Amino acid sequence: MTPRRMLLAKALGLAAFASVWVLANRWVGDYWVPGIGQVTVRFRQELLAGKLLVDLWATSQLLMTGTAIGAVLGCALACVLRLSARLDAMMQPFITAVMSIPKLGLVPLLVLWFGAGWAPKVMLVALTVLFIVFSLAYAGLVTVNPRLTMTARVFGATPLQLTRHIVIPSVLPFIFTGLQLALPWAVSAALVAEYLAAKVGIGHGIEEARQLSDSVGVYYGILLATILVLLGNGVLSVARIFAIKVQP
Amino acid sequence: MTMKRDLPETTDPGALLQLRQLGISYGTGSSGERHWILRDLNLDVRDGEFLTIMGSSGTGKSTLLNLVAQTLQPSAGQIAFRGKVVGGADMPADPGSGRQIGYVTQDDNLLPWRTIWDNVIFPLTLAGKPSASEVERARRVIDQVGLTQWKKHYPHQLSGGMRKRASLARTLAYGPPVVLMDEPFGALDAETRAQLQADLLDLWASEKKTILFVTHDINEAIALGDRIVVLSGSPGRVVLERTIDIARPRDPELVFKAPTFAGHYDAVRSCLRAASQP
Repeated sequence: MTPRRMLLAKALGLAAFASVWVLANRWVGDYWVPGIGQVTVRFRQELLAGKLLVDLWATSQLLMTGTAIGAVLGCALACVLRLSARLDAMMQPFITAVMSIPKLGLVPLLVLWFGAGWAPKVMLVALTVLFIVFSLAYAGLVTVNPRLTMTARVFGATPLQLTRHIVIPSVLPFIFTGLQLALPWAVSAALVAEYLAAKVGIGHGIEEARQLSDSVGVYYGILLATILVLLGNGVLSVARIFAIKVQP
Repeated sequence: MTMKRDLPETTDPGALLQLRQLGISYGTGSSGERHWILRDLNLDVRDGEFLTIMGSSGTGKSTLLNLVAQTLQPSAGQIAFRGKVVGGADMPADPGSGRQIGYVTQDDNLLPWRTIWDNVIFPLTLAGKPSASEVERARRVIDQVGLTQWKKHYPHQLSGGMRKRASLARTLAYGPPVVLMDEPFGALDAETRAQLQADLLDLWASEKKTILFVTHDINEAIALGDRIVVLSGSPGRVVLERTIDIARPRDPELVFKAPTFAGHYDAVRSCLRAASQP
């Protein structure tokens, strides 16, 4: 497809989405589906009031901190299990079990343990990211080509050099895929954490609007969260291009 | 670094590489349960020799190269380099024997995320910043294999034959005296293979390397080698050693015209045939 046709297709998709929204608004009314205009006006108001950027920044901070912690721990766990067959055999069943727990269900427990501050929210995001990145990093470590490491060892590479020149470049694409997969889940986790315990942030805004039966506010919050996912994806895509020279 | 010791019995003082009672086995417990892939293998390789190694599949040709490269730990015996023991059953494996050995396998094993130039220079950078003469050698070798215009390309942008050349250039730029080659041209089409064989002979003549070359192609073994060694049996051992007296320089594609070619071919073929009979 030519770039022009691609752009046209995207515009068509956006137009279809807008038409469905407008029709839905006509059919069911402002309470269920507020009009595009109302939500747009709300975006403008919140932007001018400064609240949009404050909320976006608060949730972004939560997202970045939690993602960083989860990604580092996930990679570390993958490395440890890959290096020790015994630990791997010991821990894999528990990891599978813990992975199957819906992380959002842990929110009350985390609030009980750590109160309503910053810690439980970051932990929820980190836990969500951890298992996704762990799975991908582990898969990446398994697929490191043993012939490449053998060749480098014959050339006299030390274990540290093998890690730097063979293992990390092999696993990096998997980690980026893990982060991109984890992003929407991490944003969801951040929103849920903010519904329950926050004084600022996109999730807090949505919850506040719900309490006031302000459906325009809820729609505005959901759209803002979607924009955050798209922004995060953009950042990851750009980082991926810089970090990985040859795209597989 | 590994210990250096004198080899107890040195049969040929001119040998660069000596394998003594070399063996590798797998299995556990008592010796009765152990399965030997190679056993009591003795082989001397002269400095600058082109040795081709043949044998039906499963006789341990690749295993032999892995033992010499020290990516496998032998279960018995010793490997000596210039009369000094560098590897053996009773010492820790030292892959590459401290820059003495280069290894070219059937896969090119280039790092996909590095350009051809960065791949060729890669082994030299592992020991620190490459010297000006090393960089110069890398540049010369890339030129010799005809990849100067492709230095900035990535391996996936090159054909199989070109990747093989890059892999060869990488090993030669690294500069080890001994180069092990495990069916390096096996996966290439006939024309590319013939071209690479001729180029390899040129490089061997100009770089003065000692080459151990595993192949399953009798023509290739005769065209390239000073000597053919045939492995056979289980455990594998040397069943035929034959010096190829065809004059150099040789043209690999026309080597069959040499008067002694048929004799060599028949000898090696009948040995391989006999080996494959149960």
